[in-house]
Amino acid sequence: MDSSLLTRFAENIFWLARYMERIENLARILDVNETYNRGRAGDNDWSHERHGDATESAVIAFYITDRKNPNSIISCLHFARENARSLRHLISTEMWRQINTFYSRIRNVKAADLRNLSELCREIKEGCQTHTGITEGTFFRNQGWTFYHIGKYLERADQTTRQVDMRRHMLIRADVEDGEADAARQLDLIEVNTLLRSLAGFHAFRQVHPAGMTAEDVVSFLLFDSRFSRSVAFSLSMVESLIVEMSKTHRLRRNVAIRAAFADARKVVETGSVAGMDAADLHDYLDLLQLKVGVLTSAIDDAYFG
Amino acid sequence: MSQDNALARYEPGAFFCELFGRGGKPPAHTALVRERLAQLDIPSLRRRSRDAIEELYDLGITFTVYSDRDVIDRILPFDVIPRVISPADWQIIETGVQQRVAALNHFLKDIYNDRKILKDGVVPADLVLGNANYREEMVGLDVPGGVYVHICGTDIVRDDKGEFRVLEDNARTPSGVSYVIENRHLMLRAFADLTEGIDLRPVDGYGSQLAAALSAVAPRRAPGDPGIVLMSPGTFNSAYFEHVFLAREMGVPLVEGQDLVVEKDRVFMKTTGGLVPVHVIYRRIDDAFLDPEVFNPESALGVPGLMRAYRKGNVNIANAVGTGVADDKAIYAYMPRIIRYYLDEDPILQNVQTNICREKEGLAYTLDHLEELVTKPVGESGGYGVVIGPRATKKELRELRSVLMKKPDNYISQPMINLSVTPTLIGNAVEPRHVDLRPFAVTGDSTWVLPGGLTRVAMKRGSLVVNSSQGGGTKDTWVLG
Repeated sequence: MDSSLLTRFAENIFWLARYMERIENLARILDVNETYNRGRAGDNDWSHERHGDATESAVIAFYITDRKNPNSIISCLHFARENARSLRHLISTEMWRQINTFYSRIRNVKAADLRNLSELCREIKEGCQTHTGITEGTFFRNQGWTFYHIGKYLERADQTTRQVDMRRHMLIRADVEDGEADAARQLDLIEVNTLLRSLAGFHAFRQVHPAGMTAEDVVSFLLFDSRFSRSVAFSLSMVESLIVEMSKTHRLRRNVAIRAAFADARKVVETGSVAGMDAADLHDYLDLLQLKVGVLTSAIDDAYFG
Repeated sequence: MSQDNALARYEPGAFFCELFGRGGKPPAHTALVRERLAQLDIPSLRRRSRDAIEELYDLGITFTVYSDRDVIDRILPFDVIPRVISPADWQIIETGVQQRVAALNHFLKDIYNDRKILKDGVVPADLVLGNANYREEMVGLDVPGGVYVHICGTDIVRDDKGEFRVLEDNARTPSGVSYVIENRHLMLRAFADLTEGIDLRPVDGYGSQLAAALSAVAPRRAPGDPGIVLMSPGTFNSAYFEHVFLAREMGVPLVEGQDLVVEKDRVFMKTTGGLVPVHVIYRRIDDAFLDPEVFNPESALGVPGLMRAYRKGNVNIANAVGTGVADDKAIYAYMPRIIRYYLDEDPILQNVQTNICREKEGLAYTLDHLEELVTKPVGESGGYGVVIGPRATKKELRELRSVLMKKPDNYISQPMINLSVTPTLIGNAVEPRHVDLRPFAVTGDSTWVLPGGLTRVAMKRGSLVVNSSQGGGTKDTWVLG
């Protein structure tokens, strides 16, 4: 009996992990954009995508407290908590308690909290990291653990590709000629910096590239450096060992579709290179990568969440 | 006692008090508890009460209310002053409940098989066979061990002489046991100083007793380690926390109808590794929703074919289907006779005297004494539709009278019982509030009663309605060793 897990719970655990990962990413993006846009005139395009001439506070509210936005932090946290609620007999009391109090805190975010965005984002990130820590320390190492982490790393791979894609235009700017070059490079550096910090990769990147910072190197690092914990390569390698765990440890039947989809995705990462790409090439490549990760996700869905 | 202490101004009035008895000298068994409480002052009680309430929210020991905008978690009001039961009183309750559960199981087996009690005219046949909760599908079915009521919650009150009386037998899916155990955990954390050195009967054996009982009633063909599941209507159900709690305590999967499937009259659950057999279902879902093939065809909560598997003896369901006929308020009136009929024993726990309005004398008496009696519809639960004569307005009584004349079969009446009281923290004072008790009995090979049970308390001054749906709260229940 203890080896079996209901398909519904496998799916809910998978999504619990995805939502928590998504929240952490979103909080980091909001924080970094806030910090790096301060003192810079206009042009915080990230916030104008949907809101035209929206005020900054309305935009922040849209991403944090707006329940009508299904990708806002409160919406994701709501879904994470509802998944956790259905899983309460499988997760630890400490996990549930933390998600529950975390949700209560974010539900009570006031306008004043939004004005102190950096502090709020830090609190949200730490809420997610506390969740990660409690999960590591208390979650029983059964199938649920495996599905939790598959969800987490698939979400992470997806988030990283999306964030790089959002800033793919920095590759164009690097091509700007002569007179405009200095200004463009200046802008470019801010973009590259923001991207790195949005993925908590600035210092890790510096360890690999102590001097200089080119858009190409940054993108390559974020996608392919298997030592960087938010890279696509790292996320997929984690997924690979989890897939093995499913059959080896949990005795679930080896699934051909999952193995094939994984091999496909891995190949795209292993043979990928940013050298010589422009923004359009990068976009196409990231599209392909997202497609492959999507196929892998569907294969897992079909095999286990029936 | 100093004036600062929590009990200094407490005055139970004319009622029997669980802590102070009635008039005269307070009972010796509560001495230590009274002494400990007297060392606390009101601000300290209030502080601990606030902490306990916060803890309930944080741990999500809540029932859930869904609105368009949000999911709202509410807690049952929790009172920090425990209700105390002496070893001698517990002996009466425990044996009395065991006796009642035995009688209920005999009665159900009889009415779904030989119907001797009906043939002997002890209980009117139409009252049973015409009952809305009587299930034709159960006729002739041989349930494992002859157990129909695996989990029973008997509602017991104490009158102004301190005598225990049964108010009703909950033989369908009684709820509240999770609060018994969580309340105790809460008390041990918030009032370690209060419990120290007091010999309390533990309550944490419930999960393992329940799992053992469910194992004991698995179908004969099932393997030694049968597949047990807890079946819930889902997270939208207000008792979902309790379903989680019980599944976790027993270490069994918490399933919904959508997780189960019937193939060749066998029940399976859908897991990541494929279909896994299920042998015993502790269901927290009403009969009507169990199997859309047999009962409510609209039910999306149930499992098509479940009744076929049940009738074939491939799966056991706890509580059995059709137990609702036994805890009906109309059958309740006959319980003392049912106990004598099957067990040849006098009831250990008395009923409240009950007038059956379907009987001429019962109706006449009820109509003559409407303003003194508590009148109850027989089909309802949760305290709905109950009219307390002495507290009703003239208009309410007039309406009740006309309904009674039209549909007398639908009602019983009982004298008003002045439920016992116990000290309860209300704002800045400790005041008497009325309580009842729901002990939980688990039956597999034998019947085990969880020491204590759920003490429900009417938080409103003077109110006798303890139901949570009507604003009642709970207390920890201390059975002394």
